[in-house]
Amino acid sequence: MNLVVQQAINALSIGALYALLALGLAMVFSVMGLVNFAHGELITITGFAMLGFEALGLPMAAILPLGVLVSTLAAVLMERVAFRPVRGAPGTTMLLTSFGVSIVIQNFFLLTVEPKPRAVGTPAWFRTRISVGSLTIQTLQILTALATVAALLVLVLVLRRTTTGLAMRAAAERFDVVRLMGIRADRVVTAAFAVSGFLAGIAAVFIISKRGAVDPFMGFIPVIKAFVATVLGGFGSLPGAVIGGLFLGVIEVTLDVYLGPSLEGFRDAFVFLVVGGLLVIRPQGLLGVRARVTT
Amino acid sequence: MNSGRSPYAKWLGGSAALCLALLLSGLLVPILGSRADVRIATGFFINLIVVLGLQIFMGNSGIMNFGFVAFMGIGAYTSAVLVTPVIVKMETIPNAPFGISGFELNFWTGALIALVLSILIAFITGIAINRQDGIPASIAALSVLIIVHTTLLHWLDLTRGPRAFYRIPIKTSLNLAMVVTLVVVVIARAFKESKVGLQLRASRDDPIAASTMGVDVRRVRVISWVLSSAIISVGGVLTAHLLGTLNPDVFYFKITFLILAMLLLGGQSTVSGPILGATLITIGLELTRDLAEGPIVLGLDLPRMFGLPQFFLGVVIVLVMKFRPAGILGDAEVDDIGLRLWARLHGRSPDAKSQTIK
Repeated sequence: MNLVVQQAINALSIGALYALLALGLAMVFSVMGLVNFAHGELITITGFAMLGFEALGLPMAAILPLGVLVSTLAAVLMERVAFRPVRGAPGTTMLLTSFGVSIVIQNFFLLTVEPKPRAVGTPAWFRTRISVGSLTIQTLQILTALATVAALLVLVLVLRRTTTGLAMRAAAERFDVVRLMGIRADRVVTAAFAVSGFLAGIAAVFIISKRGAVDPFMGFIPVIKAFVATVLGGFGSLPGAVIGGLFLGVIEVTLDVYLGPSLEGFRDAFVFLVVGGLLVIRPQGLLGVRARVTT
Repeated sequence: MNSGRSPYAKWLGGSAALCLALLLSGLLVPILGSRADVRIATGFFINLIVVLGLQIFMGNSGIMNFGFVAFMGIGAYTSAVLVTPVIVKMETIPNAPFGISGFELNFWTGALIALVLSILIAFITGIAINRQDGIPASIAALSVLIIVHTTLLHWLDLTRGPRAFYRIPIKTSLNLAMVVTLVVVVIARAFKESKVGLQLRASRDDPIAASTMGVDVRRVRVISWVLSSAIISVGGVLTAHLLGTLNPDVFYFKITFLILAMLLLGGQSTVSGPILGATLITIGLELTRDLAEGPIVLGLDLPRMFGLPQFFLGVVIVLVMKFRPAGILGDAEVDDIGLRLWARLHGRSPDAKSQTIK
């Protein structure tokens, strides 16, 4: 029983990170049809920004929120510089643009900072463990789960109580109709990117705290998993992204428990196999609706 | 279609023109160039095989494939572990599964087995991936790459993982790579013009209309996926026997960026486009190679710049997507361009250009 609870907490704390990333991806996709490959680079940017702030001697209490702020601004900037010129283009054009942006950012860091992973400081109390009965929980895990829930609550409030939020939800349904209602497209798209950057920033802070180091390619695997989470939950659905992310966390932790040390290295291969198998059985994902054949 | 011109004549003529140009450059390089140039040209032809293989699925189906390098890896490693001499394998992979360290095959048998295995894996993954459409399918293809890469990296008994698999017999010559390239040019064009190719292009432009006309969209996608992956795996086999040493990272991001940039720059919907793109990017990379290696400028010894070529490839992709999303050639094959030029030279309006479905 304790093992189950313990692993459920692990699954929740990993799944929460995927959920945050997947939600940002789904948000941007639903307003402008862009699958943002460069979303993972927001994690890298946050990481290097934290490294920079640390070098400036800022206190930890300032570095974490500043990291999230940098991620938010970077997402908005990315949209302004790279994605606005291709807005309205076919999905594949936008996808490839973001792929190019991702390569450019990765290699920019590779060129300007050294390619080796660099240690980044995070609060020591993140790593303290709390014992409840026979359970041990890392503070970081609790924080991840709490921050995810808080971020989701704020997001729901913004989406339900503000005009921009209403416009964003409407844009997820039919963007052109939103524009006909007199809402400025730029504002909705910028808001979507800001939200995705904010969520990615929060995820980044926890991912970096867990890894303890940053390198130019660190964003790749998390963003691929977030992609998989969006597909798993039902592509284009916001609640689906969250559920897909949490579910992916459950799959990973379950595999961790059952694979054993000899197969440990293959975990990601098994994760993708399991997800692939699920999608063969249910191509529309957990919450999706089976649509017609499209390209 | 121009009166009296057979549909075959046009595309066969186009393929012949492309093959002739490639053949000439392949034959001239050893005469005019150095040993290093021959090696670059061999690499160029291998990249061309892969980029043309990729075009068969991506260009005709309209579905992005970010996972194609997986099949290079499967082809390369299968052939490498089969063909490498027993005496080497006893030292490098003594505990290999299936008794692989106990026998060695000749290059052609090894390559054939690699091809068959790739086709088998392509068939299974093709069916799974093509349960999805569009972007989810692209993500599924990328997952295949991650599965293959993780496996190559961690199956130490078979691949030695990150410690590199070495002393693979060198069998890939410039001529071999060139001949395979010429065959692949014709296959790619023949596929595009075939019934399945036409159905696939129709489904790319309008999947609903195509299925209404009786096209089994998923079937034609799987067929092109298998053909595409098989050709890419041949590129992998040739890579293994060119380099002589493999590690799993050879078949990961860098080559993915390179091949995709080649395909997108030239234009993915034609067979001529990738050839142009591969040529331009190969020349561009060779010209900037000295820069990336850290040249001495005005007595300043600049440091080696990791990632500079990749940085430029990313910039190329972004700029192409912004200014010319269909690539330099767009929908025009060399034969289309040739016919247009011909018509213009003879004072006719360029409406003589073909009416094949774009």
